[in-house]
Amino acid sequence: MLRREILTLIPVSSLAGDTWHPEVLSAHQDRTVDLLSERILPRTDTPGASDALVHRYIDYMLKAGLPAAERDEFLAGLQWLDNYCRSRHNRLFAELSESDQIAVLTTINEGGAGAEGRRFFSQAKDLTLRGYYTSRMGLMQELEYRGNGVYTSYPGCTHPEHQKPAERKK
Amino acid sequence: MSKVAYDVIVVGSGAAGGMAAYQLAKSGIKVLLLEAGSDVDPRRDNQRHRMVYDLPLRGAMSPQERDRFRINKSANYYNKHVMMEDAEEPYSTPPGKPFIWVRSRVVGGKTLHWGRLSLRFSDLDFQAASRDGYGADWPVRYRDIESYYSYVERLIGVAGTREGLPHLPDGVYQPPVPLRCGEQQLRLGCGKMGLRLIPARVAVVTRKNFNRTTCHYCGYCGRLCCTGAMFSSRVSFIPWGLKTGNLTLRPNALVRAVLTDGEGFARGVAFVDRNTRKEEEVQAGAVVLGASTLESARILLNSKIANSSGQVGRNLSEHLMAAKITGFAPVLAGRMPSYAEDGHPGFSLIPPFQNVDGREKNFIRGYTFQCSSGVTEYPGFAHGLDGFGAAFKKRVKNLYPAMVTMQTNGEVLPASGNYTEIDPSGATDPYGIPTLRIHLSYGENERQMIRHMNEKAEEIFRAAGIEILSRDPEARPPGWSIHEVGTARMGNDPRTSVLDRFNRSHDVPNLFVVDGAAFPAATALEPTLTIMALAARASGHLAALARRRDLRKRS
Repeated sequence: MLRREILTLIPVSSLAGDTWHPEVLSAHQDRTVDLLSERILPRTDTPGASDALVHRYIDYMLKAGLPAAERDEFLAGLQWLDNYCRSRHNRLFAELSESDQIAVLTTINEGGAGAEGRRFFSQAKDLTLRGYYTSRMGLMQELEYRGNGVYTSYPGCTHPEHQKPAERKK
Repeated sequence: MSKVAYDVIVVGSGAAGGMAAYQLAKSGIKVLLLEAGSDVDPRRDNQRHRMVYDLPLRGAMSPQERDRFRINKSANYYNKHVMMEDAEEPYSTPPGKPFIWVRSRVVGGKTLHWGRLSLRFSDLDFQAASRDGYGADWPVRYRDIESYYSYVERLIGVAGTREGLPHLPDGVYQPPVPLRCGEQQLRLGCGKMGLRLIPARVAVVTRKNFNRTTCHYCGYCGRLCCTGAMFSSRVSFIPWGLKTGNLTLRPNALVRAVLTDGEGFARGVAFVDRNTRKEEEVQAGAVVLGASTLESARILLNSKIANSSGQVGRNLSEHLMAAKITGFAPVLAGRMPSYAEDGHPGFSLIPPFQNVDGREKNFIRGYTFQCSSGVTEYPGFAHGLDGFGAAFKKRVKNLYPAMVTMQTNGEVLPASGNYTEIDPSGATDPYGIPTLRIHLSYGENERQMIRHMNEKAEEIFRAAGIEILSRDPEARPPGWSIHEVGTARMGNDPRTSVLDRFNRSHDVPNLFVVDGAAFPAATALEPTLTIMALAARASGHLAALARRRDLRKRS
C-alpha cells in the first residue's frame, strides 16, 4: 500500500486538536488558506470556515485527497495570489486588512485579475465549500442537517398550503 | 474437472439469476449458482450511520481509487467494495463512441445498489412495434405476465400508489413514501399541464411484518442498505434459495462458455476460478444465463451457440438520460423541514406521456422524468452559485431546503448500428477470456426526443413556479443509465429472435437466458421488475419441462 493510500485511512476527526500542524502547506501558506477560506464562508451568526478548521481539511486534501496536478495547481495559485496582492497593494494577501482582502477577491472573482486568478479562486472556493459543509459545524450547525438517522416514519410534505397551487401575484 | 453434476447451472446471482436460482431450488431442482464476484453482505459490510465528517477524505475516494474507477462512474466511497474496477474486465468501443459499462461483481450483482424503481410494462410497450412500425413486438402480452408481476411485487415488497394509468399498470403495493415539499410543487405544476407526477414505485419495505425489516428512512439506499429493507437478491433470493437445501452457491466463478454435446444440447459450463485462475468444467441438465445483458451475450458469443438467427449481440438498447434541470422553489426557500427529508428511499416519477394517447410529430416511443427535491447531505448546488462571503453563505442556507431537480429516462431504439461483438482485435481479459467490443450511439429519434425533453423540463419548471439554477441539456454518454438490454431478444420466429416467449433458446432447448438480454426493446421504463417477472416465469417453465423430462425436446 502506498503512503498516500495509508493516509486516507486516517479519520478526518484527527484534524482537531492543539498539536495539529500542516503537512503540505508552510506556516505562511496555512495562514493564507485559513484567511482565504474565512473570507469565502465567514463567521456570521453561525460558525465560519476558520471555526470549522477548513484550512486543516485543505492541507489534508492536498496531502491525500487530490491528484498531484490539482495539488500543484493550488500551491501555484497561492503563490500567484501573493504576487498579485504584492503588485497591487505591496503586501501579501495575509497582511491585507479584511476589507482589502474582500476587495481583492471580488476583483479576482469577477475576472479582473485574468483567467488564472479566476481558476485559482474557483478551486479555493470548491475546496472551502467541501471542507465547510462536510464538517460537523457546517453540516449540523449551519445546515441543521438531521439525516442519516433512524426514523419510524417518513411524513413527506405536510404543509396544507402546498397541497394546492400557490397564489400568484399579478 | 468437477465430478458433481447438477440439474441446472445458473450463471449470475443478481435480479435475474438470483430469481431463477431461487425459483428452481424451491421447486426441488438441484441448482449450482455461479457468480463471478465475491460474497459481500450489505447488512454487515457498509458505512451507514457514520457521519461524513468522521469518514476518511470526508467520504470521497482517493485519487488512486478514482484512477481504478474511471469508467465505472457509479463507484463511490460507500459502494466501491462491490463495484468492479475497470481493469478487471476490459472492453473496447469504436473511436469517438464511448460506452459506459457499469458492473458489480458481487453476489447479488447490481441489486446491492440499484435504483429500486419497480414499474410494470403494459401492452403499449409489448406491442409498440405494431403501433409505430419500428422493431419487433414482444412475444408476450400483459395478460401473460400480469400474475408474475404480482408475484414478484409480493415477494420483494414495493412501496407505491395505485394511479389507474393504463400504460403504467398498478401493482401490489405497500404504503407509499409521500412526496417531499419540492416534489409537491412540481406535482402542482404538472397538474396545470395535464401531466401526472406520482411517488416512485420502489422496492423498499414500508410496512411491518414483511419478510424483511421495515425501512428506517436513513436515505441514500445506493450506498448499500444496512437492514435489507431495500430489496437485493443477496438479502432475499440467495438466502431463501440456500435454505431449500437445493442451491449451491459458488462465488468467484467466471464463466467462459456454455459447453454443448454432440447433439447440440447444453451439457454444462466452463469457468475460471478467479482465485486459483484455474479453468474448471461442471455438468448439468440445463443452463440458465442471468449474467447481465452484455455478459450473457459475451458468454453466448464465446460459446458460438444459440445464434442461428444471427441476432446474438444485436438490438442493444438502453435509456437516454438527458435534460437534467435543477432549480429552487421560492415558496420553500429558508424553510427547513421538520424531519430528515433526505431519508426518502426513492423519488418521484412523471410517467410517460408521449405517444400514449396521441402521436408525437418528431419521434416515436417515450420517456419519463425522475424528480427529487429538498435537503441533501451535501449542498452540491452551492458550487454553481456565484459570489462568496456572508451573503453567499446565507443564500446557500436559504436555498438548501428549496432545491428541485429532474432528469429523464427515455427509450433508446434498437438500431442496426447498436450491437456488441467479440472484440475483433482478439483482446482477452486477465483470465484469458475474449472480451467485448460495444457499439452504441444515438440516432435521429433520440436527438428529437432530447429536444422534447428539454422543452418539457423547462415548461414543467415554469408551471411549478420553480426558478431554474442550472441545466444540462445534453445526453449522458451511452451506457450511463445502467439499463442496457437487448442482445438476445425473445420472439416467436426463430429466424429473427434468439429466445422463445419463455426465455428459452430456439436453438438449444435446455438453455435459457433470463436477464435484460431477452428484451426486444428498452421501453421508457426501468427493466428490473420485468426481468424478475420473466425470470420467474421462465424458471417455472423450465421446472415443468424438467418434470416432464422434456428439457431436451425441441418445441
